Amino acid sequence: MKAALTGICRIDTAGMKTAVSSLHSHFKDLRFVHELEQLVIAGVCKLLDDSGISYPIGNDDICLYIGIDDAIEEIKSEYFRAVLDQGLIGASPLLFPFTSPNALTARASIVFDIRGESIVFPLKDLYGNVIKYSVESICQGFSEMAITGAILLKDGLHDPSAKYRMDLYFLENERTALKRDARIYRYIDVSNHEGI
Amino acid sequence: MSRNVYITGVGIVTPLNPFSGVKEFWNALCSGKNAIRRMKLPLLKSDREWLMAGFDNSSLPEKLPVEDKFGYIAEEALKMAVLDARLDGIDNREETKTGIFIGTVLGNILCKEKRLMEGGNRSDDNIKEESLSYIASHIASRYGLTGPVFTVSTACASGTDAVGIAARQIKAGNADIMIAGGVETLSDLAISGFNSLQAITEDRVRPFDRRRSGLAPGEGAAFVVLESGESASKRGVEVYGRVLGYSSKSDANHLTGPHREGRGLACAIRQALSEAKIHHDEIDYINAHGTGTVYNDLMETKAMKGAFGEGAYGIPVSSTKSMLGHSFGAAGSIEVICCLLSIKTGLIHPTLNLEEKDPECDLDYVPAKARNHAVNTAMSLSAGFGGQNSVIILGRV
Repeated sequence: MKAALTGICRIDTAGMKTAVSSLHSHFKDLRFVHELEQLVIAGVCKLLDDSGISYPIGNDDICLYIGIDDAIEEIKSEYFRAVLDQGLIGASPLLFPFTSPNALTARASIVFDIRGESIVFPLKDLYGNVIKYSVESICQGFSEMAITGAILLKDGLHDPSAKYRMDLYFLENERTALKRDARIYRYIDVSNHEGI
Repeated sequence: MSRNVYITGVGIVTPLNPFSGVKEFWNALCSGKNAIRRMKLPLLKSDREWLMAGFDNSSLPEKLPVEDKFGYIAEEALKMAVLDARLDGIDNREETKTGIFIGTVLGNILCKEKRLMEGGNRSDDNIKEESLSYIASHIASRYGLTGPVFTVSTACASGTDAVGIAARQIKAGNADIMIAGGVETLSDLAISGFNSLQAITEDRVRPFDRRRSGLAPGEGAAFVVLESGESASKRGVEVYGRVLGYSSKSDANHLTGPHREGRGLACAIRQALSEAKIHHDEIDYINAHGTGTVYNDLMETKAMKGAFGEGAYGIPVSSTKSMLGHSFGAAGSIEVICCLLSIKTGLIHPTLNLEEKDPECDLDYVPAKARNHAVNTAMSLSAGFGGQNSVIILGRV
């Protein structure tokens, strides 16, 4: 069995402003704690749009398999510096959940009502293995559709606002893609996932 | 390709009889020994004490640097599992593909805390030992593992997901042997955070009790060796049990609280049963997430009732966290091992401090004393921040 690639989104923190504005037109009460959270929600929104998937989803057909590099470390440092500066009173109950990387995908699952598996894979740099796992998950029937990719620290030396980037792909069971008449960028199996 | 997955080795290091082996751990747990006590923060100066289950410094090597504790307990548990599986060292195994999956929430956070306390600046934020993925890649490289290497971070379900996803690697033929589990240390970051959310009990950890008031942070490491049937049979190794089914679902509801009706967990239970191809009346024991927080225990009870119907009343359920506290990324793998030991010994460990029944938590939670009970099939439940819900089913071979 092959997985069909039916959506692509590459976004960074500098380019996410338009997407975030559009989010606010969909979700009136959306509040953010951290810019990484904004990036993830804006990225997933753009990806779902690109894939032709309407939301809220409201079922467990879609899974989230996301890699994350040291981008998460900065949240932990920010949280702990506040504790060092102010003692226990500096411990932010809003920021604390984001010291666990799954909070980022969890926010996307909540905003878009995605109830399938949601697995975060911390990694150092390359995220090919995350894509491979996602393809396998679809090919072996553990998931019908998957949002996969990675959240990465970007070299923000020239543009500090472009500190983080996110590469996202929407994969789905070939039959599902054909049934819903989705635009298919290409087919992927476990042996050719690296090209994307 | 879909292969059966067996567990052929277990290793566990917790504050309960630390570093003394699996048998001593299990004896202590079944006798109701409690590892939770009043402790101060690991690094920050504070007069305040919290209820926690942490290693006594005397149980750790003298002069072990704080930043090495995470790796030390991980490697001790891993070595125990590898020895138990008679792998005779996990390197030099060119004929088989061996991989490693490690679940953790905060990784080597004590390393980061120490650096920041010493005035470390932002440019140091990419120190490799602080990366969540470091421990898995370090162990893989040190032992020459050639199979899949992953870190899994799904909050308090990390340990369960690491084992479940590792089992899928064997099923898919990506590896013959997988080492999988979780590791977490107590940290100022976690304690200050759970304190800010008012999640830490000041009384006792009382899962499913009417007076339950919160969790106690804990620490530890636990690993299992998973193996394909062909590999286990070829090596003639003893088998603890078989992974029958695994599922993970999201609540899609709240960042720090569970879905009040246990929607995601009930869905994960049904899916795991379906993957295991067994009927719910075949489950002999459930190791609950059982944190002792008001909402988790009620949600879990509702999820079990939702998935098992009236049958839920006939299944013994117990909470390991009533004695070990909540070791976050390690908890799921510790509880997988408890299920395997129940299958092996026919003994279910008790839920401690359950004295006053909550009318809404009315299942059989095995209060106070361990119980002799034949367990052929056991289920471990894990839930976590972000609405993570993971279920793994293990069976006797």
